Amino acid sequence: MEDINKDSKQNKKNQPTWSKEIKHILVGLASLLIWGLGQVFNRQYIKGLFFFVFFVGLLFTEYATGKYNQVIDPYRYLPGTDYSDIFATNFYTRIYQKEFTSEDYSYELPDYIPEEERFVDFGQYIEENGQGVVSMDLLTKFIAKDLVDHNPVRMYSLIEESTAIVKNQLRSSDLYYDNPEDTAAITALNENKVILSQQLYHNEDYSALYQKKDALTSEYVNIKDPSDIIIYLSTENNTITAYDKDDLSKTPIVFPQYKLTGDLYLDSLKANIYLRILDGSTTYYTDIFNDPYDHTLLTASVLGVGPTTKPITLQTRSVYLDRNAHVVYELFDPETTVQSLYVGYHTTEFSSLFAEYLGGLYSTAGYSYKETDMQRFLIKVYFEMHPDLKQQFEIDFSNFFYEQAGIFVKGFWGVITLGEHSPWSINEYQTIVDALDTTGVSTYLPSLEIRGHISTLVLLDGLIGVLLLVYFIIFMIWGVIDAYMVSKKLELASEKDKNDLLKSTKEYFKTVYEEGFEYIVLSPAIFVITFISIMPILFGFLIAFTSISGNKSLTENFSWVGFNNFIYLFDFTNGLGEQFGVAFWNVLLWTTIWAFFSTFTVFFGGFFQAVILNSEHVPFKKFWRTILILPWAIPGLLSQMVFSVMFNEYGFINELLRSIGLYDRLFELGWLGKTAAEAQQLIGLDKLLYLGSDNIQWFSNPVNPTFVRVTLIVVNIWLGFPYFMALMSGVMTSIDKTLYEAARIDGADKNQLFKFITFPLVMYSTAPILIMTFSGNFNNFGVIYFITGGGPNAGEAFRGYAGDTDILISWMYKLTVNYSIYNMASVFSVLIFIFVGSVTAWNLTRTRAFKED
Amino acid sequence: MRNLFSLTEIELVSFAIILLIVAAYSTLVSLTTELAQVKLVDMKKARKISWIPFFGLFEILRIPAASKIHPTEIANVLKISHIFKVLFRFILIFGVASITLYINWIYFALIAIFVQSSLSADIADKKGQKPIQGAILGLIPIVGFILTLKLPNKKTIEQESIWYVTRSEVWASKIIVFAEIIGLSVIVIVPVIYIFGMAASNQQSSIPVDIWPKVPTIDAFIFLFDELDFGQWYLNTLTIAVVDMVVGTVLITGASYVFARGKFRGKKTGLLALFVLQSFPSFMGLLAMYVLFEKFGLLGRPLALSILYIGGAIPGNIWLIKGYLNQITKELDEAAIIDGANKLQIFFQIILPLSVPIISFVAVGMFMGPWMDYMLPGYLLNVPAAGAAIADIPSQYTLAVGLFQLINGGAYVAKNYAAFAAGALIVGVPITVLYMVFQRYLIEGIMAGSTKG
Repeated sequence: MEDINKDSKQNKKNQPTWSKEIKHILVGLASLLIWGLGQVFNRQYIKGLFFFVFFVGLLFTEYATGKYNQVIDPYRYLPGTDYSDIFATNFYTRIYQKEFTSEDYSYELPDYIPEEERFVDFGQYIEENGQGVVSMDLLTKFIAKDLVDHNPVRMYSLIEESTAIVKNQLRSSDLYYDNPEDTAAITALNENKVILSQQLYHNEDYSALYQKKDALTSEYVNIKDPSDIIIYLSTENNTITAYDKDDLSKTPIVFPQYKLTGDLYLDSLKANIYLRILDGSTTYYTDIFNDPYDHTLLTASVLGVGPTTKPITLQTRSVYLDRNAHVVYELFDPETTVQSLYVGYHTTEFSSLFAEYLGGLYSTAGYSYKETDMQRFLIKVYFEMHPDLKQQFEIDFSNFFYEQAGIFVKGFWGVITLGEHSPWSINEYQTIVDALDTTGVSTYLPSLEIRGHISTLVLLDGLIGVLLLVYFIIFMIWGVIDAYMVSKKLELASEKDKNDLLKSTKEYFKTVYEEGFEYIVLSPAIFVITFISIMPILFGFLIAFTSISGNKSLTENFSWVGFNNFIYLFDFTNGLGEQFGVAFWNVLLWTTIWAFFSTFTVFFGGFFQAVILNSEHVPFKKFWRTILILPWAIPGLLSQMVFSVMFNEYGFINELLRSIGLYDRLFELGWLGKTAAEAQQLIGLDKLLYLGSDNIQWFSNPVNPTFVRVTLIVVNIWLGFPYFMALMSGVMTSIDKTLYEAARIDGADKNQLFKFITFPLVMYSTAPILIMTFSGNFNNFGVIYFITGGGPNAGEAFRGYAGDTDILISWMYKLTVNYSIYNMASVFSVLIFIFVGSVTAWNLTRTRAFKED
Repeated sequence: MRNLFSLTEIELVSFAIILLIVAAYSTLVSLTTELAQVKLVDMKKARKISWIPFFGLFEILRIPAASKIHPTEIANVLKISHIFKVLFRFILIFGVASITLYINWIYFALIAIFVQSSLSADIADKKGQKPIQGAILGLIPIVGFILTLKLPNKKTIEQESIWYVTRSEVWASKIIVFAEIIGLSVIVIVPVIYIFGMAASNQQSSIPVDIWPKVPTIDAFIFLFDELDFGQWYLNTLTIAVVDMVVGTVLITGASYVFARGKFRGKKTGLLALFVLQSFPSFMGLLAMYVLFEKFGLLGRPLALSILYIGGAIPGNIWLIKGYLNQITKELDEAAIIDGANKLQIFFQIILPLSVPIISFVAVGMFMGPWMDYMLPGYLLNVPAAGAAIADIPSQYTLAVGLFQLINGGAYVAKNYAAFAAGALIVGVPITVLYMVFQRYLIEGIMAGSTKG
């Protein structure tokens, strides 16, 4: 061994320095790769083990918090359990081998299905896809196929009573662009779509039928000529007032409203379709196709309702009209909704059998099938009908990082991506409920809500993981540096020193152990700081760069948007900038003005009072001081709330001013007494002197925010002056009296004493506090939130919900708590931090405690 | 109150004229006396004749000076600027006096009493007595003043220099100083009385407009405990405050000790990190705290808030205590180490007893924090706790949230001004008294914190 060592030593000496350096770095890097490996190279095995234990700890934590060895089934997010393969086999058996089933099996086939043709499909399917082995999976797939095949999206001519199949494939959500030939037809038809579930309106001379353009606007469309839009003005008396689209100056026509049944009738000649209209007690029929100018309302007798006319039963209640061809089609698309109900898939021969089978099982005592199992089954069938949906579902809910990764990997993924998918809301499966469930088990199956990657939680978990990892990384860096340094020392050391160095591992651990006391004492504080202080601040900082906004954003997925939210502050035309751009600068300006004036009024108010209180004329200084310091001693929150009550429009202060006769004078001056409408017209000085209409609106004057702001600053003097008064009295009494005497002997008068002794000394010792007060007032949440609530004019969306007295922090708080606009709130808190943080930091660097360490 | 703004123009003008005449006459008398003083004539006689307008002045001018004086001294007294200065002072004195009398006679009377007290203090001082003795005597109207004048002289002093105390300049200063102090005191006290009145008014949905109700009751206090969860609010807040104080102070004190005395890897980095952290405003993490609480099912649980307060208080307070501990000499530690004490013993037996003032300052601060904080509980406690009903939300509140809802009308607590006031009193009075009692220490603490660190 020694020989080898000597050899290697010789070799080392011959090596150029850079290659030695590389060796040390490699040793360090070894510790980076596998912690402790570098120490092993340095032959410090115990130390190596020490670091390695932490390495294993890291890996174990990652492994234990993850699910690396599990297979992730995305369908575990669905409720209930799957029906078993036996379930499927039994069904299969019952269909094909019904002669072998027990006698109490009372299922009978509907007559209209030719027996020999019935179940060939399923049998074949099983043969082809499952080599004759029935499984629940295959059954699900087959049911889906069966439903889709028997429910093509189709047009049904109401007059010809014939069906034109538009599409006979598995439908995608995009209906109209699959078959180029059909596209033209459907597009043409679509133009005249009439939703009969809506009320139709007839004009006075029955020359035209109208439907509402959409639920939101008050415009009506002539269903025969969609380009002719009339404008609806009045809802009084349930009438329509129609204007000529081309000439709005024409006298509008007022239409009486007809009640529309939505029932269509086909006459015996199958020539025309009539719409039934109720006008009070009389029933009319109107031909919805005839030339508009011949339009007449027909009574039943004229139309010959009865043997010659039959009502048309619509399955979907949505009808397409082809005006030119005089053909009425009914569109059958099982997945559309009419009046918020699904049109739904029709029962097929196969599905009716299955439904019957299912019903039998659910109604049999002893079976433990649950409603949620049914829901699960239906959703799975629906997925089979929509492979792209299924695929998306499987991707979303078997996300490796979210479902399987441990705390650290998941953490990094979370911070980088903020989660990848939004919550799922699966309710379309209700379209197949009618076709598969005749049992009534699922009379109402709710829409299935599955939460997605909730970005807030993902980010939170992510930060926790990342912060924890930071501590491990600190440990790792320690190991790497140690390996590097020891390697370097070993090279330079002589043989004896080398042994000492290797032995010193013990010493090393001794110091580590001794430092252990400090770490143990610190650990709870470190823990709390990491997760209660650092983590939230990081979180708050980061969400300023995301799109998190809106009521639902706490439970949904949002993404990184870079500096967009900050750009909004400068771009007043886009997105949130419209609301928050100008509002921000207004609020910032007022915040600064507020911070400045509230600090200086209070500072000099306190100074003034301290000077008065300390003047030679005042005996019983303590007594007066005790009274005047009261506002400081009363908790600020309480006095702020009391002020908001006192200065209420109908509060104590106004009553007091009224009783001493000030109100009469104010009315005479015209500062009070203008109506709200008049007040809106005021400009210039008049506006500044407008105090309210009947009462002085101290904190709620919507026209004259300047007045409110001034009042606020004045009220704040009450709250703030005693603190400075007390502080400065203290300073003044502690000023060395000999200073004054010396100055007096030199012939200084009172003013000079004040100017050259009192003032500079007081300023000197209170200036740091002045700075802190300024930044405190910048964030004086209480005064704003409790006294004015940010008002007047608070809560208007177009100005970002900011009121006239809202400062950044109160605005930010309201945005977070009341309006859920978290990203902008966060942007503001970042900006507040940049201001306040730098002030406090600057202030603190000047303190002795900081300089000492 | 009387209508103060009902004066007509004629009344105002006549008031101004009377004021001017009175002030002018007083100026004349004052100038005459001043001249007499300058000329060192017999003051007893001079004072008497100075009351006669013009004649007095001429008489004094005519009387030859008792000793040789510089002619400019007389000219100085009769300078126009000086005359106007004196006139202005008298206008001030009589103006303030009559205006305060017009506003409220009690106001005037108080000013008068305190001016007299102040004068008496000055006189007592001149006589070599303790000024406070004169001040107290002076509180008795008129009699007190006479008594002060009759106090025995402790040092030889001319009667004239006692009178000097009462010159117009002093009068003007005193009357203005006391008008200001008393006026300000009223402004300071009125809201305080008002809140007592509001509590006694039992007016629930309308704001009391009288400072004191005609029929005071204690119904609001009863309502607070019977109809509202006030007791629960109090308990919630108290729990948060106590946990915050105890756990927080222990954590912070331990950590500060380690940072002040310990030598360990990462100390500098740690201190710097704490320093950076404390300049972050706590509300930056508002949403994060919400999400964190939601994740662990802590929303709507008051006690859980204390960990947030602790977390927020750690960085700044470690610096504060550490700064204090640094001032304790290390020789004490070294001596103890020689005696074989370990780190824990040093901490408990040496450092802890010496740092009681700063620790109690921090502890009081930690205890007070939750009482008046609105931001966190207003956000985190306004949601039902896991498993609790919406109707239970009010029972989760802290005092600050509950009181705020009482005047602003929340979703779960109806407006009730009297109950608000009653609650505010129950919370505010002990705190206020504490602050008043310990004001000196608190203000010293603030000064120390800001200038020394």
